[in-house]
Amino acid sequence: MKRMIKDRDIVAGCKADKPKSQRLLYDKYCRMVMGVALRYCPNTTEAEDLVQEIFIKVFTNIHQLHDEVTLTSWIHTIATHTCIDMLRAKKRPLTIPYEEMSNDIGDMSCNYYDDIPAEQLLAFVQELPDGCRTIFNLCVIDGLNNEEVAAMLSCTENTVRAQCCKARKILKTKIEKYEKTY
Amino acid sequence: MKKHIDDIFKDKLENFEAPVSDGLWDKIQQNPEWQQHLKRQKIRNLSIYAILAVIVISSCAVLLHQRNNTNNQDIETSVIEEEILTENVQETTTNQPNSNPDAMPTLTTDETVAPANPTPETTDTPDAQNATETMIPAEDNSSVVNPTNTEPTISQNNSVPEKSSEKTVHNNNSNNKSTQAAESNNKSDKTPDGNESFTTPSHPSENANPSSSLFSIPNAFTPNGDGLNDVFKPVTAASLQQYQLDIFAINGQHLFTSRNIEYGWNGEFQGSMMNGGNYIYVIKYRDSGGKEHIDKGQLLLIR
Repeated sequence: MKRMIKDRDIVAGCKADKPKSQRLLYDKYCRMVMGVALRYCPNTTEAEDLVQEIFIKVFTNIHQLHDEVTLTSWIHTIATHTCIDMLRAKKRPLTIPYEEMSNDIGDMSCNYYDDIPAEQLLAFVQELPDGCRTIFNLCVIDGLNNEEVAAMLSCTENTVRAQCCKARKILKTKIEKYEKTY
Repeated sequence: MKKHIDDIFKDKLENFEAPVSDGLWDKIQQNPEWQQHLKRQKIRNLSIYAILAVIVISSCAVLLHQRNNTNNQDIETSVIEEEILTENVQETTTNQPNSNPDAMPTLTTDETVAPANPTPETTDTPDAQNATETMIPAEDNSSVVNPTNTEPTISQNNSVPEKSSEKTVHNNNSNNKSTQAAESNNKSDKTPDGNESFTTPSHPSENANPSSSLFSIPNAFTPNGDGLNDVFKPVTAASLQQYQLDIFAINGQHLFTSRNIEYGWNGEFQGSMMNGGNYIYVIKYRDSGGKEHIDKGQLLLIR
């Protein structure tokens, strides 16, 4: 409850363009936004650039937010969209041509002892190719369905599915390798 | 222990938070996009203040203007009411037998029926009646506070003691509003009432000039060819030795001159009609005693 009231005050302050409230909002949500940005970017530098953009978008569009309760998910959505926009603006091939996945229905489980730190998992994701990473983030971590992702990236559902499988395979090998080493 | 790869990543990364470097906030503040946004905001705020200020100032001005107008109108109406009062008093003292309002509907017919004989001193009895008759509608007009009609109204009353209006009435196409009829009088007497006839709102300064009582000068005319007030000219019954009428535009341009008292300005200058608005007249004349006078004032040309 305390957090909600605080959120409301912060949003009200941001809507009135008060620098103090903007700073509070930034301090409260910068870690979350940075987490999202890191998932979509290959490295920290790009992620920080993204965080800048995301917060500017948040501050300039805060008057469109009608319900403070949804602030977190609203910021999250803005972050995701900004990441995709950035990747598009850099003209990276978001979608790799459809590749035939012969062993599509392979076992996507692996031995896992819950001992891999989040930072290491993040590094695995960051190492993925751009298109693969974006689709994996959207489909798996942000939990969107294939249809939504296809619409967002303006590609076919098949591509999404294929890219997702490819990402899983790559990640699986990485985890297995990691587990063997440690 | 087996676990699906999606779950591994979802569990760990969905709510993953990472520290940001300390300088990031400052970077945001210095970001050109952000600076632009701030600038836009500043301009927007400034323009909002500017618009508010303009609205406040203009509404103040309008209010002030309205207040002044109503004040002026109050003064005008009060002056006119006073005049009407004094006129009424005079009217009763002159004891005109026919000064009943019943004569009003027959006003125009009376005027046309009246002898067209241009001899001022001969027609005595119908004149008195006419004077009172014409005065009644004029009084009605004055209560409406129409600046174009106030002066004729007032000067009309001078005709009550006078006995010589008929001639000019017909000369001026038997004007219904009786402006010229009224102006034609003032023959010789310079009663205080005669002075008062010039206390119109447009040129109260003439009030102090005793010589102005020689003339009746309309302060407005409408040169639209309808036969009513088409020509601006002063009306006097006094015999003058010299006379000259000059019309000037507000900017000082000389538009018209006349040495004939019967020949007035029709609103034209070099063959084209002048626009509606204020103009200045200057009348120079010598009265029967040989004394020189100059009358100045504004007239309103109405389209």
